[in-house]
Amino acid sequence: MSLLVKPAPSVESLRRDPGAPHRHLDWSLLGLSVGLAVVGLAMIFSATKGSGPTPYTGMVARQMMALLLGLAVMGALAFIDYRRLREWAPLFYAGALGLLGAVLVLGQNVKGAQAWFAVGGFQLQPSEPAKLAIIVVLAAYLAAHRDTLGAGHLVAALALAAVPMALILLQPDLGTMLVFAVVALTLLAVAGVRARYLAALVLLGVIGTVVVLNSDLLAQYQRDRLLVFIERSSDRDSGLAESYNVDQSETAISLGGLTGRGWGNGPQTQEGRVPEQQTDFIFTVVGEELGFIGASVVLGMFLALALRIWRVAQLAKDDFGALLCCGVLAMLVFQVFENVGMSMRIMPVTGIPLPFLSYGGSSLLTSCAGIGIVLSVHMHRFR
Amino acid sequence: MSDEQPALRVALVGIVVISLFAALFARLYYLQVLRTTTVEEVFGTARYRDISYQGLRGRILDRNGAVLVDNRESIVVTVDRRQFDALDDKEGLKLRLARALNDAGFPTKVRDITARIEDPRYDPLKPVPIAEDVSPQLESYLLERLHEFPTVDVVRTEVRSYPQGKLAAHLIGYTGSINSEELEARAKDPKGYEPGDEIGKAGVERIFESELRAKPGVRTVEVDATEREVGTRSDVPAVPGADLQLTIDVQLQKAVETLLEQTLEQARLQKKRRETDPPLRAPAGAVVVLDAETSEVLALASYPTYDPSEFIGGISEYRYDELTAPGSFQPFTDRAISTPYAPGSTFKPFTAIAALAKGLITPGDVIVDNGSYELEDCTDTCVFTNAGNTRYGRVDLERSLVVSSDVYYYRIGEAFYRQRGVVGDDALQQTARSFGFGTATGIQLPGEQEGLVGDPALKAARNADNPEAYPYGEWFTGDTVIMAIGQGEMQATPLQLANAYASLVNGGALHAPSIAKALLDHDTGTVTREYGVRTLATVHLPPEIRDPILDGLTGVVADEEGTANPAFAGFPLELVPVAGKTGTAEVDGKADTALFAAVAPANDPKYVVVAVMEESGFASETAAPLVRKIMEHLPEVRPYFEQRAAAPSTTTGSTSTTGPASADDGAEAGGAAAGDAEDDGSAGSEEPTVAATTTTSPPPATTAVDPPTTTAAPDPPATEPTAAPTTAAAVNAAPADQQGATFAPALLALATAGGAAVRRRARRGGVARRPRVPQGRA
Repeated sequence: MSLLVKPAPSVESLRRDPGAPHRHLDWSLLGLSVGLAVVGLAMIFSATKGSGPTPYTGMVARQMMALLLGLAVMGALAFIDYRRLREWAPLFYAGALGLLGAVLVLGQNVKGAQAWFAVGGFQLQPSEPAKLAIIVVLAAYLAAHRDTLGAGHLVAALALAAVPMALILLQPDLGTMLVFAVVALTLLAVAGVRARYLAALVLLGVIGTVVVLNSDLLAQYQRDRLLVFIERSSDRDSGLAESYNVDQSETAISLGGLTGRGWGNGPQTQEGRVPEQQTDFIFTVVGEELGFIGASVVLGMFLALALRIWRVAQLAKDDFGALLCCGVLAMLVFQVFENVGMSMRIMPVTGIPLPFLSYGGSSLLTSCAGIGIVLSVHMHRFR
Repeated sequence: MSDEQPALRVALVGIVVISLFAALFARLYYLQVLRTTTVEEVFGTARYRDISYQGLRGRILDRNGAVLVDNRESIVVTVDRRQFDALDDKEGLKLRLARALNDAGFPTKVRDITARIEDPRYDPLKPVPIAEDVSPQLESYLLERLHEFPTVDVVRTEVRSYPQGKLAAHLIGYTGSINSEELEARAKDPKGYEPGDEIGKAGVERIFESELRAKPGVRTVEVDATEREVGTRSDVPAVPGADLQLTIDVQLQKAVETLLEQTLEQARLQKKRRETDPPLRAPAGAVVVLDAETSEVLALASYPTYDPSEFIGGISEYRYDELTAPGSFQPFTDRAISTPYAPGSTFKPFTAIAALAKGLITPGDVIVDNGSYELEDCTDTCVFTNAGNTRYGRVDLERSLVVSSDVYYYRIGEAFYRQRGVVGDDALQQTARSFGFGTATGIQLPGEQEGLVGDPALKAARNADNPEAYPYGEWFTGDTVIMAIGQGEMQATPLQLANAYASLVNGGALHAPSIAKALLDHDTGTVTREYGVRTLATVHLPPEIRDPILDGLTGVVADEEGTANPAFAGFPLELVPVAGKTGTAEVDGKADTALFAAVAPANDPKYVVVAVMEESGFASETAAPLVRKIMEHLPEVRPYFEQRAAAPSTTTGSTSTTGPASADDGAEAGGAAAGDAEDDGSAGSEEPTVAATTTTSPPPATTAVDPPTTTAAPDPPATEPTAAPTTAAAVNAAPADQQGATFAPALLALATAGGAAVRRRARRGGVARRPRVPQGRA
């Protein structure tokens, strides 16, 4: 080891503290995150370059800026001791609710959802950072009442999650609301809520879904999407609007085959036949152009990322850290599963981005920030 | 984590994570490795829709380029079905639309609109037509109020137009919306048909459908799941159909149709000979004018007829029922090709040819016609008589045709029967078939019938099939005897008859009559395909057989006792000699069918004209005059009558002579002997002063003429040095640009003179003192 032979004075002084956070930066988490984001850039380029002689690069450039910003946020959160977040939790929560409330009044309506702020040419989707806020708040609350966790705490935790979920449903954004639900459920489970409570909760969820589906709470398109998923097998070519996206997406992925059509050469992608192929349906580009091998590598990176976060959760110094990691893990894994699953017709269509890959600054920033928190838990596990 | 349980729960989270990813991998493997998709599969089943649109259908022209069928704009009210389905107030819209249409004079029921909108045969991507051919007033009314009529639009499309009205309706036919059988039959047509497309239903519109139809344009659009257009992928413009040039001559066709109708009307006014005779209803008839050399159809008329424009946008059921009612005498039937008639005496030349060929007679054989003929060794119907029991006395072959002696042909018929052991039992039928009788001619028109040439085999087969309707399976002497005069088991369509005469006079070439001359490029008018002469067979017709027949046929018109001679009084036979044969065919329970088959000029056959008039009585009083009037419109003859009409009224002569009369005719006729002009004029017709008037007229001032017709006039043939000095000088003296104008009087003078020569020659010889066809013409 060259460091042992010729230690620099500054390094020398640092070596004295083996528990120093910077010595425990998890390079694999950082590398996987950046790697996925770079794959995302390549896919966004392919999906948006167009067929003209000069490829369009506007979206890639914006995403690259978002990535740099995201890495900065990730770094900042990594070096901040995650325990400080516990103190800021009420602030995060209040800010998130404020933004979610404001967007319903001041926001922009894009494709039927009142979910975006337009800020100087950029769009901000407050429901994305709100995911992190709810993770922090629930983790803090559940960790604080870890030993005395009862029904009252359960109700309180559910109420904490329900308020932002209700605001998001008003936009309406069913997918993001589902992320909240999954995150909350995971945190409750990990925190030690009794299995029978959880079972009751799941049952309530199912009944609630049925009621909501049969009420007017959901927009018609949302109901159609869910019904398409349910009726898919018998109704492949019914011409339903909602089955169109999935037909095209599934077809594109099938077209990829083992080795893919090649980057920038996917016929479905280049014809622009998969709607939202740079955002919600970015995985179709991966599947079609990179094939089974490429898509497996991408999914493998996600799996490695998830397992690494899971490992960090196990290594965490305290319950709060472990819960934070599980929250981020639940958020990312559910999004990956739902997003990739809907592209392949094993999940219903909901507008959820694929973390790190989908075009969209808010989503990328949120994913980076989530990894930043996990990095912080990892780095600060000794002190 | 401090205690065990949370650690276990975290571990469980890991298992859930791995399970979820396993599911994703499994699905990915299934989609990309187990169930791969090829690009062809995907793009074959892509969400693209081809929207075809119609191009211009080819026009139909006459032989000189005159337009018979064109296209014109029609204003169509449409409803966009896809948007209509999303409307809240569907019934209200239908009601308002029906009201607007009714107010504008287009009777429409709400039910009609519903039926159109719900008709599954229309392309779902295209607006459904609700009302066709509406007025521009309604168009602007609706377009100004489109907000009151959501999903309604008013568009302009092309439909057929008929600049000549009803003219040649049977030839042209009509178009209509394609029906399901037609759609099925043309499923693989390269010009792709879809519901609602126009297709030829009758006439050449039907036969030349593939040529006339435009190749539809195809706009390929991409649609989303709700079949909304989201983009255009490609747009291949429509290619117009080819213009079809027919062989008919509009002017001649017009004359033929008018004269046919007029003559039938006159025939209805005839008095019956006997009170017990069937009524002379003269309800229908047909005329065929063929080019004798090529069998090109120059005119083809069938009466009654219909107006093809009634079919634009669909004919109403009521109107259709009216047209097809019995009292309308089937106007849709093209009698010229679809109705077999007993040819009667017009068949006699073919009987004679058969008898000459088999050596049963020679032209010089003379029989004595006592008005009736009794079969030898006969038990049942044994006595056959001439029409009206007329006795013709001594009759040879030529005179048998001139006076139309039935007895002469009864004898031939019996000879065929008696000699059947030597000549075969269908020798007469063989000859008839060799001239195309009994077989469809193959003209490019739908619905042609093949006529009938009965023989012993047919009669036996009929009897075997249906003994009750046909009690006799045996072929009797009488069957051959009446077939010899074109009755009984002998039937021919007017076109068959005309084509047989064409073959007879042109030396034996049997062609399939043609109606199509060429296909022309829609844009440039250049010929892209020429429909040539289709020769089917050549009949062996040596001069020793053909000449006496032609002499006889010439005598029918030219000889004073010829059956058609009165009909041709005043006709310039000297200019254009005519040969022909009348036929008055008996029909059970109805008045006789009158037929006349004629050839002109007899010495150089160019035209065959056949007229058939149902229930009209004697041919010599009906069909023959009809043909004569038609022949007045032949290019060779028309100038004569135009001049005659113009000359008495004005001495400056303002009639233009557009007839492309052959220069040869003029020159030869003129070369005969100008000095005889006056003599013949006074002798031959009711217009004794024609020659004098015209030869002394100054050249007409107008000049719309065919220059080539004048070129030969100043150059009389050397064989006739006494060419008319007056006319030759007149032509020579005329300034170059007026030479054409001088043609008419010159031709007239020459023509009348020539006619005299023909007549004089006729007087010199022949058993029955009638002219020989001037074949050699030395």
